[in-house]
Amino acid sequence: MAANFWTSAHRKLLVPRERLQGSHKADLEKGLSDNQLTQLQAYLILYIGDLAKASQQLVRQRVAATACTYFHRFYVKNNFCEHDPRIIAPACLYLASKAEESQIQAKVLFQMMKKLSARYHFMPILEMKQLLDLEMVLLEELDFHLVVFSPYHSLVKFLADPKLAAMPATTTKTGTMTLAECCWAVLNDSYQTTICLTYAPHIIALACISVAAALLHRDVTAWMLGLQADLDQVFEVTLEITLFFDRYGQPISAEECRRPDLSQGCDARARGGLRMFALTL
Amino acid sequence: MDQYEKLEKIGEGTYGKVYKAREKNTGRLVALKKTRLEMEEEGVPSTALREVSLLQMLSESNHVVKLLCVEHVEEHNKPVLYLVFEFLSTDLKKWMDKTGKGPSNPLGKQVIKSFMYQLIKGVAHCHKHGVMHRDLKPQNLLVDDEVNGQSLLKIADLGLGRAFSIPIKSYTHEIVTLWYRAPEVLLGCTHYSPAVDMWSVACIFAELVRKQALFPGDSELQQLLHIFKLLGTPSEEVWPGVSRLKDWHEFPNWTAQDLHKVFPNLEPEGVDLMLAMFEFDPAKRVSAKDALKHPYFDNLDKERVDELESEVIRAREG
Repeated sequence: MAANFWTSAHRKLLVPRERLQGSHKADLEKGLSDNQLTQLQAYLILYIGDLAKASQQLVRQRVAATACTYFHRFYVKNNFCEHDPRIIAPACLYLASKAEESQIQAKVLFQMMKKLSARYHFMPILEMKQLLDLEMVLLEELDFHLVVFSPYHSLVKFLADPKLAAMPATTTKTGTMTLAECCWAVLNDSYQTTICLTYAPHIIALACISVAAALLHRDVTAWMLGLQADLDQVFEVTLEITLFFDRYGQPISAEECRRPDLSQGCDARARGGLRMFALTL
Repeated sequence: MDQYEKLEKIGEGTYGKVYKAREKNTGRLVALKKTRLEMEEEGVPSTALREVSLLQMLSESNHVVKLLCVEHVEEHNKPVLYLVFEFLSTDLKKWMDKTGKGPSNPLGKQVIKSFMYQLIKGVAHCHKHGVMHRDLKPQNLLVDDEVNGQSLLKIADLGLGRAFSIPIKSYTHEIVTLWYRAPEVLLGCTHYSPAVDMWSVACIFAELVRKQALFPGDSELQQLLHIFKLLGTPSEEVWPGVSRLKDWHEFPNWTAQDLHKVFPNLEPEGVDLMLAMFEFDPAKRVSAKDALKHPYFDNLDKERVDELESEVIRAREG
């Protein structure tokens, strides 16, 4: 979001991966598996994204990304069984819209939730008082650190590089796709993982480029070697995104990039986790 | 909130009352900025959220007011948020009035210089962290007289501040108090930059020298007329694109006055710095970082003023 990541609280708030493994203790004790936790998380991140899309341009992707970051940060220390993620997720979006200076009114958020209720019938509709209470809970848990540096900014800058911009689009089974389109889709989907908690935004942006290039059979190795970035880290993130996609479906195709019904596909896969979740509550 | 003893109300902030208070177990004075949360409406005001999250980034500098903590309490069954700030004895507006208003009660040259240096340092710190203040004015600058015999100045009230990203989207331009508002904002420019703060700094500079506001306009048009009468009506040559700005009209063609004559008590280097900050074209206006290196500050004991800066920053920046 802002200009200087390196001196920011965001940088100090990055969580090493080892520490993330200590999260969700209570959930695990209640019998949720790591697999189910990951699926639930992915499902709720998709929900945030779909809420943003249901707002008809009121909520931009960057705001949704900030909301996802709040969501992940919140659950580093908290458990799904203690704080219902189905209501934390929309509260994150509400708070992010304020912090990113494009506030949505609470009643508009409720309308967005109702609009999605057919597709996401597991999601309770929030009440006003509940939302405002959750806002306070979130603020305290996030310790008022609301400024999030997003990889979108870095991604745009990298994609403007003539070497990348000149790459021809790839024809796939479902249509043609440019590197830029694919990068955006990968980045949007990357929020289903927790990489935004651990890595600097430019590293994530580079990893998305590397994943997108692999998917489109384009070679960006030479270009990347010319950068002064920690390529080991880029590789780690690339691996993490790729593994996630391999394990949890194939979210990236030209068709799905435009996302006509991406979330429906994911509904099915997360539903198992959510039903499990409802049992634990 | 039991740990604080409210002493008196000291003002009205952007979103609520401000109190002077004492922290009971340390005796330290603090300023409490109260934010009522209108529960039936939209929760925590976004200005308060922005102020807190920006101050989290900026409070490290001694030229930005320190946010000590945030307290969330219930008062009369209503939720209230208190932002707890360090306490400074006064603001620059009151501080100036104390020594008498108007050009016949001038401030010492070195005091003005020290204040300007501290102000620009604070602004540079904000800009370096990607934050524009957008509402700089004497009332938002806090002053403490007690530090090593020097007056300390800090920037406060970041409620309208904004972390800027690039490209900067369009904001509502109804923000900066008219008197300190940059011409590009007055002319309806929607893509403005940190340069708007430097214009405000120049206006504050002039006010320190004259002990009187330089452009006291009471409407946007009058504000522009004040500016153009003194600095000349900008042409396409000095400010490319000015005539295509949304609120541009044909204005009388004034020529710039000689600021050396307008500010006879200010050294020539000071006038030069002021002109660099009063540059019409925001792209050509001097940045805070460069302004700190201006010859106007050459005969300032910068080391002594820098002692006011926090340890952390001094250590980092040598």
